[in-house]
Amino acid sequence: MSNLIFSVMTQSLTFLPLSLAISISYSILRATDMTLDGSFVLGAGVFARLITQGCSPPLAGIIALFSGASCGMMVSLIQRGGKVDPLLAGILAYFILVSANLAVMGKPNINLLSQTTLLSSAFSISELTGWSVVACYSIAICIVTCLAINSRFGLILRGLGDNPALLQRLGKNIETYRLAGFAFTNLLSAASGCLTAQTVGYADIGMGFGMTLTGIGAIILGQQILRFFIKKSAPRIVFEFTACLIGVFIYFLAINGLLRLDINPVYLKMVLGMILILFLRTAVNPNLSRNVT
Amino acid sequence: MKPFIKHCIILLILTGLMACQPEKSSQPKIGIIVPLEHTAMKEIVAGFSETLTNLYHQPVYIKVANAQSDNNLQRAIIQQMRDENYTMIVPIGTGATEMSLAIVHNQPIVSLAAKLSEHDREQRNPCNVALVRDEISSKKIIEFIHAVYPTIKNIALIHSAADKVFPEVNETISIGKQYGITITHIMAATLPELTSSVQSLPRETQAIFILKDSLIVSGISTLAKAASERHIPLITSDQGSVQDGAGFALGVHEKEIGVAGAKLASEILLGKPACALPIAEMKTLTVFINKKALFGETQNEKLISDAAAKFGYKIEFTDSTKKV
Amino acid sequence: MKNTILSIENVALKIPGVEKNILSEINYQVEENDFIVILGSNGSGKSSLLKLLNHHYQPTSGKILFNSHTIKTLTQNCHESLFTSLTVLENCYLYSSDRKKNPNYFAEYIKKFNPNLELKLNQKVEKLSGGEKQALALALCVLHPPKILLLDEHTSALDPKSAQKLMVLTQEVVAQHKITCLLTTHDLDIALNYGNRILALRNGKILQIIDDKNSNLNQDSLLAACY
Repeated sequence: MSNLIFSVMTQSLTFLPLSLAISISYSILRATDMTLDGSFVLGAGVFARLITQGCSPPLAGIIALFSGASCGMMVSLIQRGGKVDPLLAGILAYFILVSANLAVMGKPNINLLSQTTLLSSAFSISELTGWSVVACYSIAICIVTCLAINSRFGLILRGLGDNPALLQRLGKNIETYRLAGFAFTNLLSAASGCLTAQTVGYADIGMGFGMTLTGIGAIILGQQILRFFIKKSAPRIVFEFTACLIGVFIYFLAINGLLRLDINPVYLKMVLGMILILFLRTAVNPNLSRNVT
Repeated sequence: MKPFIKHCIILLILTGLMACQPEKSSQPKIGIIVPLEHTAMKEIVAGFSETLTNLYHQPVYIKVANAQSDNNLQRAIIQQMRDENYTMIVPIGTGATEMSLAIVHNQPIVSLAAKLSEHDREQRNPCNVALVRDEISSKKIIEFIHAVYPTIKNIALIHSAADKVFPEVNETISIGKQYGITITHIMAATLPELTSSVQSLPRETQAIFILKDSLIVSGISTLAKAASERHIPLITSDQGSVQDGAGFALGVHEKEIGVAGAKLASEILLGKPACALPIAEMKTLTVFINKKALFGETQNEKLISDAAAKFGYKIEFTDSTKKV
Repeated sequence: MKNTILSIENVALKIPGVEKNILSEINYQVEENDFIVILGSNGSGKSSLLKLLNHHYQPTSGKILFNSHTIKTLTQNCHESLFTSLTVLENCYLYSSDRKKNPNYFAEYIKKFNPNLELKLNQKVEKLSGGEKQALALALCVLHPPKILLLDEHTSALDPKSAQKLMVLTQEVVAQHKITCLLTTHDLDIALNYGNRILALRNGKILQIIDDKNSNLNQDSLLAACY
C-alpha cells in the first residue's frame, strides 16, 4: 500500500504545477490554452539543453521558467485585440512550439541521467531525499501561485476572466494583464516540465502530448468531488488548489491502482474512463453550473 | 446510502485488495515495457519470450505492458514493476529505457533497441543495465543502395521527429555526399504531414528512403503508392515495411533483437551481473525484398540480389500476403 | 445659474444594415445636476441616444459637445456592470482603486444601498437576487461618483416593488453626489415621479420636452411616447 501511495505522490508532485497552470488558465482566465503542452516540453528541453552545455542547474532552471513565460506572452500577443479566438491562438502557438522545441533541443531526446541537475545530488543520497526536494520545489511553486492568485494581481486576473469589457471600462489595461496571466501559467507549465525531466531522466519532444487534456480532466474531477463534500462556498484559491490536488491524486491513484489490479494497460484507459463516469454521475449535482466555485 | 458514498466504499475496498494482493509464486517475474503498439514491438517481444523459454529452463512469468505513447502511463508501469520487485525489467526503445533507468535502481534492466552508450552505462551506480542496440550503420545502407543503383544522385529521406532518428538522418546525409548522392531530408511529425510531404517530393527524386522510424513506417502505404506512381524505388530499413509495400530493405529481423535480449536476460537470471555483459549489437543484416512492390515500382529485382550477394547479406523474399 | 454640461446639436444616427435613421434632428441641452428621464417605447431610440453619449456609437451627423467628464452607464443587464463569479467584496475591491480599504468600509458603504448586502460580502454576486445585484451595481457605479450617470432601463428587469426601491435609491444617490443623470424608461410613472426634466422620443425624434414638471404636462403626448 505504501508503495502505491508513494508512486502516486511522486507522479502527482511533478504534475502539480502544471495542474495549477491549467486550473488558472481554464477556471480563472477562462481560456483553454493548448500552449501549455508545448511550454511543458520547452521548459524540459531548455533545461536539458543548457545542462548538457555546461550551464549551472539553477541558472538553467530560471532560463527554463522564463522560456515558458515567453510562450505565454506569445499566445497572448496572437490573441491581442480579440482578433484571434483564444482556443485557436493556443493551437497556433502550439504548432509554432513544436518546431521551436525541436530547434531548441537540437534533437528529439536529451538524456539527463548522468548530468548534474537540481535534484541529482539529493537523489544520490537516497530516493526519499530526492523526492523530498522535489516536494519542496513543488510546494514552493504552489505557495507562490496561491499568493499570486490571492493578491490584487490575481483578483484582476479573475476579473479579466469573468468580464474583460467591464475591467477595461474600469481603466485596467486588459491586454497587459492577459499577457501577464498567460506568462504566469506557461511559466508554471515549464516548471513542471523542468521537474519532470529531472525525475524521469530525459527531455523528450513528445513528453507534453495530452498533458493539458489530462490536467483538465483531473481538475474537473477534483472540482466536482470537492463540491460534493463542501456545500458552503470556500475562498476561491483554496478551492482551486484543493480541487487540483484531489483531481491529480485521484487520476494517478486510478492509473497506478488499476495497473496493480493487473488490468491490461491497453484497456486501462477505457476502464478508467468508465470508473470516472460512474463517479461523476453519482457525485455531480447537475444544478451546479459548470466551472463555478 | 447515497450512491456516491457507496462507490467510494467500493473503491476503498478495491484499493485495499490491491494492497493486500498475495505474492505471486516465487518464479522470476520479467516486465517488458512496450512504448507503443507496433508490429515491430510484437516481433521483439515474441523473439524475447520464445528464446528465454528455450534458454532458461525454469518457469518465468513475463508481463508485457503497453504504455500506448503515454508518458504518465509508462511511468506508472515502471513504478509498479519496481514496487512489485520484478526480477528484471525489459524496456524497448530509448524513452522507456531512460525512464526505467531513472526510476529503477536495484533491479537489473535489459534495454532493447535503445540509443544508449557504454559511457551512459558506466555512469550508473550501481550499474544495472545490459544493452541490445539495433542501429545499422548509415554507411552500410548507403553503400548498399549505391551498389544497387550506382547512377542514383538524388534520394528523398523522409523521417519523423523521433529521438533515435535525428542523428541517423545527419549521418546518412553526410555519408551520401561521399558517394555523390544528394539526400534531401523531409520531416513529417504526423501522418497527415506525411501525406502532404510525399505529394511535394522534389521532381528530381530518384528514390525514397526511410530509416527505422515507427511513425513513417505506419504510413508506408502512402509512400509505396507515391513510389509506384513515380516508378522509383522505396527503400526502407526494416522487414515490416517491406511486407507492407516497400520495394526492399536492408535491416535486421526485429525478432533477432528480442533473441539477443533474451540471451542477456538468461545470463542475468543465472546470476551474472547485468553490467558485466557486453553490449549486443545486431550484426547480421538481411535484405528483405518484396517482388510485387518492386514490380509496381518498375524496378529490377536482380540488381538488388546481386548487390546482396556482393556484400554477403542474406536475402529474404517477403510480400504483403506473408506476415511474420 | 446652471452650466450646460452636455449639448446635443442636430444629431442623427444611422446604423449600417438598418434602413431608417435610428435618431434624427436631436437638439437638446443638459444642465449640470439635471435628472432627465428619457421616455419612449421600444425602438424609439432612447437606448441609442445613451450609447451616443457613452461613445458606443458615433453620430452620423451633428455633434455632441461635452467636456471630458467621467461617464458611467448602468443597464438592465446588471451583469455588464458586475463580476458575477466574484464575491461582493471582490467586486468592491476591483471598482475601488484603493486596495487598502478594509472590508468594514465597504460593508458600511453598500449597506446604504441594500441592507442585505452587508451580510453577503463574501457571497458570489451570481447568488444575489436581481434587486440586490442592481443595488450593488448602482453602489459600485457611484463609488467614485461620475459626473454623468446614464441609466438604461436599469429597473425594468425587476419586480415593481424592487423597481420602486431602486428608483428611490437612485434619486437619493444622484442628489447626494450631485450627479447629472439621464435615465431611459418606457414607464410613464417613472417619468412623472422621478427626475426634474422629461425628454420624450418617438421613432427616433423628439416628441416632447418638459423642462418644468410643475407646469401643465401634456400627458396624452407623453402617453403616446410610451406606445
